[in-house]
Amino acid sequence: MTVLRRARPALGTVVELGIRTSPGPRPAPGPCWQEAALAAGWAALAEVERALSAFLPQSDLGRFNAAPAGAGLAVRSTTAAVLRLSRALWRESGGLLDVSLGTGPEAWSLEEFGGAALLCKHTADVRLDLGGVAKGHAVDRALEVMAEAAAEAAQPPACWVNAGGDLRTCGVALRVHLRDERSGGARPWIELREGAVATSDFHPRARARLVGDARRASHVSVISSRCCLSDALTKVVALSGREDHPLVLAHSARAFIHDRHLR
Amino acid sequence: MRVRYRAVSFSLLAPAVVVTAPAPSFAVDYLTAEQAQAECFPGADRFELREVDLSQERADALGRRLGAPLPRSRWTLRLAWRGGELLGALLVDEVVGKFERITYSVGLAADGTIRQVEILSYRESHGQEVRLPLWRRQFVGKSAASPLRLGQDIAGISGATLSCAHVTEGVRRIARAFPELLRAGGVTP
Repeated sequence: MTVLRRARPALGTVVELGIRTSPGPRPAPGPCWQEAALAAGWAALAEVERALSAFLPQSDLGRFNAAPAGAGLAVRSTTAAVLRLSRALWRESGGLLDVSLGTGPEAWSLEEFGGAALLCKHTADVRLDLGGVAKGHAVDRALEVMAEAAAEAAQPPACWVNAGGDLRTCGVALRVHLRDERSGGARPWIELREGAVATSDFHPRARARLVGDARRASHVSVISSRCCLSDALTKVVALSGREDHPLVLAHSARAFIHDRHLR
Repeated sequence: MRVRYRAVSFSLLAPAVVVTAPAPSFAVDYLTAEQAQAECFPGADRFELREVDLSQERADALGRRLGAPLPRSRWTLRLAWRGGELLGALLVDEVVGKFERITYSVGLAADGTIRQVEILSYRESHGQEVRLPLWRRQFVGKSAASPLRLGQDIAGISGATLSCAHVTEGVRRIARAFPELLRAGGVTP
């Protein structure tokens, strides 16, 4: 078994891409499909970052945040996909997940015009921050292009993407360790064979509502089929304090609230 | 080509082990400096190591100009040549975060533009250990004293505060110091 894994700084964290190849003769030196798949993965991450980073003035989000009220901006398909998901999750979570961070959840809308997506800004104050889903979406996109590159080379998709703890795997059993947020060290937690995990800090406000031992909750992980969903659902659990929040169940996800000793 | 994804599949690892075992260190080696330079400069026909020792005085002055102290005065430039033409250089540096120690490389073209940043190795550990200089020193070179050897296991970490702010700062510092490091190494692009 050959494993090719690379890591680079991206999305404000350390991103790792990995590919497993079936046993067999070592590929000849020089460019191979695995290298091409990794390059496609890095390109997909960069593309999502360029579209969705709130810190880049030229990103779709940077342009939206700087635009005046009444503006309509043509946005990339990746931006439209994440905004559509964000809108659906906002509705389904009863307003808990709000990418406008309180500046106006209904002050933006996404319109379709002949196949193109138009992001409309209704008030001057509304600002969007996709921090809660964009990283997960970037992981999904990178994994998808890598799996497609494998399929094009007639190889079974066996790859993973880990963006500083928001991770997804396809066809590779990945032992996921949890970092102890107080004292360091990484403890074995699950073996993920298929699907995505994301981990977020537990919201102090939600912790204050808990009683007894539950108050030791430190962070929350969610396992689901897609990383953008896991990413978003960690926020739902961290804000509501409920592992069994209806939205988690509706997306066939599993949530875990970890206490400070990661039990 | 479309790829079909199967459903979610996972299993919890034995909780008894998690509770009683001391938290292991966690280490991944991605690339050696040699592999990183070959990937960054595929057109090179020769790599040359050149040690640059800025005097402490010069390093301090450069640090002041860059607005942040240089982590050290000695650097190794891995110069990439094609014939007599300098394509660029690769530099290796190390940063320590809250719980992690990251060795990374920056590949720069001869004109100073950044070509590639790669993580060469990653060590996740206990905070106390990372803060101990002695512990840090034992990793200089290669293998760690007791990192979790993962064998055939492929493992990843899920945590909430993994950050690469220190890498980003380090890359910026190296890029800005690069022309002076070239000059100090007697290389004129």
